[in-house]
Amino acid sequence: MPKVHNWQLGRPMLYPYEESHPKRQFAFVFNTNRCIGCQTCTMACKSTWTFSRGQEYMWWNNVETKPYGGYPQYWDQKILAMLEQANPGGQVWNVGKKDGERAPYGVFEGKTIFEAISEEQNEEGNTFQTTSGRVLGYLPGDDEWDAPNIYEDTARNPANRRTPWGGEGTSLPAHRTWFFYLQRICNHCTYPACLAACPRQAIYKRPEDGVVLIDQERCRGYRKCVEACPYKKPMYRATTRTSEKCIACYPRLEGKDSVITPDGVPVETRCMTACVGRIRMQGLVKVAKDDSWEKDPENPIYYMVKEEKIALPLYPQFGTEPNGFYIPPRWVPRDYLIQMFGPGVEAAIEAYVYPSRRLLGLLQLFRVTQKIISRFKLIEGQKVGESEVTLPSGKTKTLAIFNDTVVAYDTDGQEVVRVTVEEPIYERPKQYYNSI
Amino acid sequence: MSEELKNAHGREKQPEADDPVELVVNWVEGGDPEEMATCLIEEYARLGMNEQEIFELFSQPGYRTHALYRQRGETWLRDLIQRVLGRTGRLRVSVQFSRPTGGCDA
Repeated sequence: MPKVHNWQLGRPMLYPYEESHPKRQFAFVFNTNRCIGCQTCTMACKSTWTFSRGQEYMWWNNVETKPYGGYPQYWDQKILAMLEQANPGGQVWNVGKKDGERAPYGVFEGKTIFEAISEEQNEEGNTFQTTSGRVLGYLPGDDEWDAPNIYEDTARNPANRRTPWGGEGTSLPAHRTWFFYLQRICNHCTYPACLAACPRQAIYKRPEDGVVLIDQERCRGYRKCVEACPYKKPMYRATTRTSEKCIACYPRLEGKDSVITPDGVPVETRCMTACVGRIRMQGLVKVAKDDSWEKDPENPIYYMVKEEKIALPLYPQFGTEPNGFYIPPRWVPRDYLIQMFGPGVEAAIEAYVYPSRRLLGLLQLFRVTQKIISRFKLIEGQKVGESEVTLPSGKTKTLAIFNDTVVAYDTDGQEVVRVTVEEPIYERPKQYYNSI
Repeated sequence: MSEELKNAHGREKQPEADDPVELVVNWVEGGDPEEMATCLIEEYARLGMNEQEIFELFSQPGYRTHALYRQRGETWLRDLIQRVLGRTGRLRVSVQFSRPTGGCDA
């Protein structure tokens, strides 16, 4: 099996195909700190792409409550358990081996879903043979797909057991512990597991933007992609007997829709643009031949992922090099977050909670325009005030607020919008409205 | 609806103790819902929302953050918002589009 470089793991890894990269890559950042779980993104996607017969249980975009939920149920717990069983105690990071852009989070010393199924492992009696033989995975049952979000925020049973049923149907107990919302679409991975597993080579990655698509004419519905994708984002459609998946709203990405993009400028996907909580930003990053991203600090996605390192990949240890990045929720226990987003969590939260001027400006640009922002610039202003922030350690620190303006440019280099932080405002509580 | 029809319609069926696919949850220790609410309030204050706008992020039943409102109540929530805003303030932000845009930003 060929070896490819995976910068998120900080090392080369096994992959069924030779290394090859698109010129630009579709990528996105989700700020989980702002998500209120309104599901507007989910419905925007559903009403655009998966409203037809045979797609009833298909949610290309879903938002699930963590740590309780999953779509399909237990998707992440299952694949994590399979990897742990394939490599007991070995799924660890060596954070001492950080090496710039090639290994920004250190080196992952465990096995990816491609390596856990390697021939060497099989000869040693590994029981995780999948039907594709190329990727460690599993095929969820219908019962795992058919009820997204049910009982995620409202517990039916307080213990991790299926029977006996122990709740009152009319007054379900609510969770009393922590949760956050995890927004999920296809990650349009650099090394897609779906593509690796497809026996028909019906799945391909577009050279112009790295979007991963299933050729519906070639697909025979063998469901190897459904089995292989660790994020479980390809889905089978019984009425057409083919698999389908998120297409990154590529007509919008290409700027070819005469109604939505009359000026031909690319716009973000439906799920991004519908976001009520202003948590989402999407972009295109330039990719070099060696898997690295070309240095482009004025690109918002590059800046957040590579410069500030506040946005982290989802389960990088799976090895697919996902191109979706998350700003981790700062109130969640760190062990859980590190398992989910890798060892960069603590540094990411530190940088996010006490942001630089440039980052504070960029965070204001989320969802101000629907156009894809290819470049942003900060125009510095005078200091206008201070705001108190609480660091992860519990200590408080004073954040200086400046009258800065952040300017966004579209993919044609034209200015789209400018956002200015005017000043911090403190409002008196009602009982003191008339006091001096 | 007749009893026979009720039993035939999935929506009407009651949970059964021996159902192997009955949905359950995973219980994980740790975390603090108040900290979550505090963080959300700070986030939206930084985007310029005022007290009432932030309150509605929790009071509207359509949002899943409504679970916190249900658990702790309006008094607790309003008090928390005022405390956080009193400490951090909120930012006044202005947005200016550069050129007339057809389509998406119109």
